Amino acid sequence: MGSLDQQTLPAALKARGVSRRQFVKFCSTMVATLALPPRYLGAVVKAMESARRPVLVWLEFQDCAGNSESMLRTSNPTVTEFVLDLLSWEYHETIMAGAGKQAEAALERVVREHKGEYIAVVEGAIPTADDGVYCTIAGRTALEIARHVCSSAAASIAVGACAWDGGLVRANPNPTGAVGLQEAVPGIKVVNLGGCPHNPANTAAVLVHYLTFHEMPALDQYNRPLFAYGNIIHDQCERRAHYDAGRYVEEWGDEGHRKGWCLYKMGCKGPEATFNCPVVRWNDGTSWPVKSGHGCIACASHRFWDNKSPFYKRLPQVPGFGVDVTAEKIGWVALGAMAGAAAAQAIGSTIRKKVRPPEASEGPTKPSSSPEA
Amino acid sequence: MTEMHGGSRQISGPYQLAPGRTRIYVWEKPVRFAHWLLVLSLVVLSVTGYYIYNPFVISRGRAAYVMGTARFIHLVAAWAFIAAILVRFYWFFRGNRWARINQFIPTRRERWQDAVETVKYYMFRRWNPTPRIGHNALAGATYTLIFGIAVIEIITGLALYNNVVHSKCLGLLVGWVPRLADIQWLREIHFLVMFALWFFFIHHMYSVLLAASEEKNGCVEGMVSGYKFVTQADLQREFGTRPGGEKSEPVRAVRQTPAAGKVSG
Amino acid sequence: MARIVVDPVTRIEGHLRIEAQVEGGAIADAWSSGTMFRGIELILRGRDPREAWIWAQRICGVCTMVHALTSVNAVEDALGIEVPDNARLVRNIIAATQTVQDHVVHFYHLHALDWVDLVSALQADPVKTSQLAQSISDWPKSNPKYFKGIQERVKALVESRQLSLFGAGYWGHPAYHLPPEANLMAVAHYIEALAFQKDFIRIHAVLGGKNPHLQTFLVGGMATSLDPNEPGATINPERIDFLLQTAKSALEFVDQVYIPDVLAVAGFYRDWFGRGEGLGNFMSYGAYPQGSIKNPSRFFLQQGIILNRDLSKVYPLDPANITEYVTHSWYDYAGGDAAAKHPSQGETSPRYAGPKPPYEFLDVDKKYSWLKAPRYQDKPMEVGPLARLLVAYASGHEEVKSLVNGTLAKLNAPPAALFSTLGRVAARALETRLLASHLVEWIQALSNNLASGDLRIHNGEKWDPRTWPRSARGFGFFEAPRGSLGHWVEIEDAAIKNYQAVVPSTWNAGPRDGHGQRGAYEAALLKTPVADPERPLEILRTIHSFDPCLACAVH
Ligand code: HEM
Ligand code: HEM
Ligand code: NFV
Ligand code: SF4
Ligand code: SF4
Ligand code: F3S
Ligand SMILES: [Mg+2]
Repeated sequence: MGSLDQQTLPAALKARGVSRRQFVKFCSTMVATLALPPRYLGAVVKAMESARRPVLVWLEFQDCAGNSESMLRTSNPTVTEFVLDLLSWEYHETIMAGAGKQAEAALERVVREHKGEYIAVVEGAIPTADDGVYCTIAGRTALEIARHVCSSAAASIAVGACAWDGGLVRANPNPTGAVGLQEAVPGIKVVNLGGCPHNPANTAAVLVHYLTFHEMPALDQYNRPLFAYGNIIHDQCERRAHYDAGRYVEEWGDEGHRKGWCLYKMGCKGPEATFNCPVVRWNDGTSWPVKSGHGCIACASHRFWDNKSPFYKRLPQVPGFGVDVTAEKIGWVALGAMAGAAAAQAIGSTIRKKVRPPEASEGPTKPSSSPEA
Repeated sequence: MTEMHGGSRQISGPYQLAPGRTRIYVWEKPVRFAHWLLVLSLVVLSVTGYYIYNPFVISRGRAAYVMGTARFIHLVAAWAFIAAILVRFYWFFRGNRWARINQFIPTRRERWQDAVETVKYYMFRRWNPTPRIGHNALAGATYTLIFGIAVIEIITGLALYNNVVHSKCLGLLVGWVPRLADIQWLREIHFLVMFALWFFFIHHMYSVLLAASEEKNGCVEGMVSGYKFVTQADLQREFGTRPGGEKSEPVRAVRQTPAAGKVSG
Repeated sequence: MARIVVDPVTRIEGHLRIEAQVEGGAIADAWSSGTMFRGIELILRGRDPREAWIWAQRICGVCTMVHALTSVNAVEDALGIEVPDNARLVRNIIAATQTVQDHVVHFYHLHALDWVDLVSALQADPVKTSQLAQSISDWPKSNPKYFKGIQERVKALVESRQLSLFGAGYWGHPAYHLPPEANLMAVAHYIEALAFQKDFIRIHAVLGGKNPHLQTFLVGGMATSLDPNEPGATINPERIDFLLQTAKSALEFVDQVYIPDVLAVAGFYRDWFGRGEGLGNFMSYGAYPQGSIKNPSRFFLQQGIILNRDLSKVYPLDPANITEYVTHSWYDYAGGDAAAKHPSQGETSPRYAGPKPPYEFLDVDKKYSWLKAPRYQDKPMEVGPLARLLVAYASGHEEVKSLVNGTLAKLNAPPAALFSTLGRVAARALETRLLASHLVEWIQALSNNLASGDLRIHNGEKWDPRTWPRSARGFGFFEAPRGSLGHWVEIEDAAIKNYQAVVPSTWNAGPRDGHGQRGAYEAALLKTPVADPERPLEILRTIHSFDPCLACAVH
């Protein structure tokens, strides 16, 4: 098969002055992110030491490149390490040197020479309406490319909401019939890394897990790694004490907002979102949306655009009513109507009592008999 | 026939009944227990539930735990609510003739007719409500609906709870729910069902009070004591020529009083 | 003669296809096509205008946040909302950070390999490389050991025979002119810039929770609460300190690495000051309000139009003159495709009419792109850093004038050299310098407000939709890294009725209009020499000089 005779990682790292201590530290960061017990550190170190740069291709379809950009923002390991040392990153439109024919040839070569060995990362949704004309690359549809490339991969990773479940592109009314990878190419092995974009800290950890154990980490019912998507944001949130205490931001910029109180009343979807943002955070652990003062929009949840919006309201829009009609409003109107009906009935009954002929007062003995009878 | 099981308590004490009325033991203990536990837990669940939806009290103190408390109480009340529903469901199969499941789902033609007549009564197309000892068929159907809604509330509530606790046990029970509808829609349903329950509450209050005033059967007290006051005609219709029915099983709880006067109890 | 197809054009955002007719070793005609459509304008309909920015931001993850900002501008315009001064400052800080970061990434990671031959760097002498680097700046890392390390890394890569992202490059192409030492220096800074961009963008993470796709805008202000005494506030003295330090380090990087590199590379490719000119019409909406957004004349970067390269005159901009054609685009207009429509009346009705995939060539005489063709007074316009700089320069922006004149003097080039492929590259670098220094100023202004007790960050008067009129229309605009960005929103019954985005790359990469006039890319490619039609490096140079973003352009 392919030329797998490259240099090993420690040699590559040593060549650029990375000490063994730094290397082990990097491995232990990965162990922590993966939520593995510390005893796995040895296995990770050993595996990384002998890892032989597996080939990776990164495909972009109906995307915004936010996941590519996000990948460029990772420090543990940096993208440089991924590209130069850890993996052989052979195709990625946004940053690869080659273009046009040469780029396509590079992709084709991977599919041909590394069949069943390479990792295919997919970013963006895949349009299925009108024979897939809404996304073509080199004259071929995204659907065709995805089938061709992902079905020969050892494993596929869908990064971001769009690649997982169609994301934004699939939101109502889904003008292009967009779907996620596992729906577009059924039957292949896919790991879904939801988020808009994905958090590269998790993606890096998945890749390291793969390099170490030659398999993907434990997955949930959506094929998302449990270590990243197993817990509710709300349960890990630093504002949680304020939630429990009943201290809420009520207006943007108010005292509560300045004091870092809970954003529940501003529509925060943390209680119905799972992800590890509060723990791994973003951009090298700098911050995450709630820490910076805005509610969570549950960007790592299934079909979150339609399911978790409107983002500034506690509950979804009741279908069939206007955007300014909340579920609560509907509830109160219905209660009012019922109270009105009861009042009307009460008045009617009082009148009936007054005008009821005495012979009807005992009532019929059979259910079917009526006052008129 | 177990169906004739009408309770076994002899009545004592100075009850005074309306003229021509008979005191009869209708609502057995489990029915009343379930009913009032439902009422109590529903009030608590509503107040705490609404607070969870819209925390209208903002606390400022350091030691406050308002939402935490509200959620805790909501959960405790939720278990009470579930217990009440379970007790009542059990009694669908164990209870007396007025507590049985056939009183709720109008399967027989006669019950259907009763329901239609009751609708007519509400629409002022009849002078009087249809006479019944238990609840009329329409009321029964409404209660069925409310039990159904309560079940939805329990299922969505448990699913929301499991979203927090991720318990294996609960997962077996309600793990399928979030696959059917997103957790956010479960919240929406859970919230809207609360209004449906309030909707029923208004309706229920009204019709119970209406029945109490129209039928003079002491139905409100009946939910407390278990006894209703019925006419000879009611008894005749329900049990045949004499109390106890044609199979002549005695309805021991039934006692006739000639005395006139106010109903108390 | 030969028809060259470059598809995919890589090292850009999105799916761009260039078809070019080459005659006598140069491009005789060219067509630019966007090959991906999502329909975000349609997806936005019926949604809450207050959250439109969250959706619109996903038009692009590269220039993330510019659509968010333009969206809140549009909704605020529709509802008549003025934002507090702190919100204006935070928006300026976030936007300037975006532009600085975007420009650095563009130069090093998207554009440099058009000028820099990676493989040639293996021949470099690290000592000489260090001398070269020290001769153009005092960047502290420029020692032989550092360059030797980089060289060994590249060597290991090449020897592994798996060149990763660099495998399919046009190494050894005759159009590469840099000496090996310059190549090695550039490769080192390519890696350096990767580290820089991820550290620098933490400004966005602090203010917006994450990058890409910040989560902090609000109709009426920002979600970045400020308080001098609260650790829980988004902005407090400690965070200000972080922002300042990070901004200052950016200024250092720009001054000591980016600008010197651009000048060094340009010095070896002087003929590219005479290529890739394009339309000669330039437009800027103006950006970075100094006070109210209602007052563009006081924006930090001016608004205006330059026609036919005439820098003696800047025409005022009137958004009413903006229209979009779909004559050559895969859309229908009610009432026919010949006439253009103003975005406030805009329509998005996709109808693919191209060849059935898989295809070899587009039918360029008919419809051939998912991009619409925007026009100003029926004229095609170039937008972007060069347009902004020219408008500012011609409007008498003192700082811009001295920057531009100083640079032209260093390069020994006339102002006309700016109308070129390298002119765009240089303008981008100068703008980065300008914004990095003002970034520091805006952070300081924010810090002063904080100290003076002005903590207002959001104007909540119109937060509740019940305070809105039944219907309203708004126009939001901004100068994104790639140029003039406009969002038009129509609100009815508290929901979005129509949403139209006309985006910088739509202006630049758009197809022909109803009169057959070329878009900016198409015009700029004319007469470009192509040494080897199999390896059209020259096409990449000119197209990349615009910094294409196709997800933006089509949306
Ligand atoms: C009559 C019955 C009930 C009523 C009226 C009621 C009402 C409510 C309401 C209004 C909410 C707030 C929804 C929101 O805005 O997020 C809520 C939340 C909740 N309810 Fe109930 N509920 C009832 C029964 C139950 C039951 C039986 C359970 C079972 C465990 C339950 C568990 C929950 C849970 C877990 C939450 C979410 C609390 C949280 O997010 O922390 N509820 N309920
Ligand atoms: C919202 C709270 C309430 C709920 C969910 C509720 C539910 C029910 C149900 C399910 C029944 C059928 C009894 C059975 O066979 O189990 C019933 C009957 C009854 N309830 Fe309630 N109830 C509520 C509140 C009340 C209150 C506050 C009163 C007293 C004022 C009341 C008085 C009665 C009476 C008198 C009956 C018997 C009516 C008949 O004969 O049809 N209920 N209720
Ligand atoms: N064109 C464009 Fe953007 C920019 N800059 C948008 O407004 O890149 Ni994605
Ligand atoms: S998931 Fe979000 S960030 Fe990723 S491509 Fe889709 S819109 Fe962009
Ligand atoms: S801010 Fe959001 S996630 Fe955090 S505690 Fe409040 S509701 Fe939960
Ligand atoms: S919006 Fe997304 S980034 Fe995290 S805080 Fe919420 S899951
Ligand atoms: Mg548009």
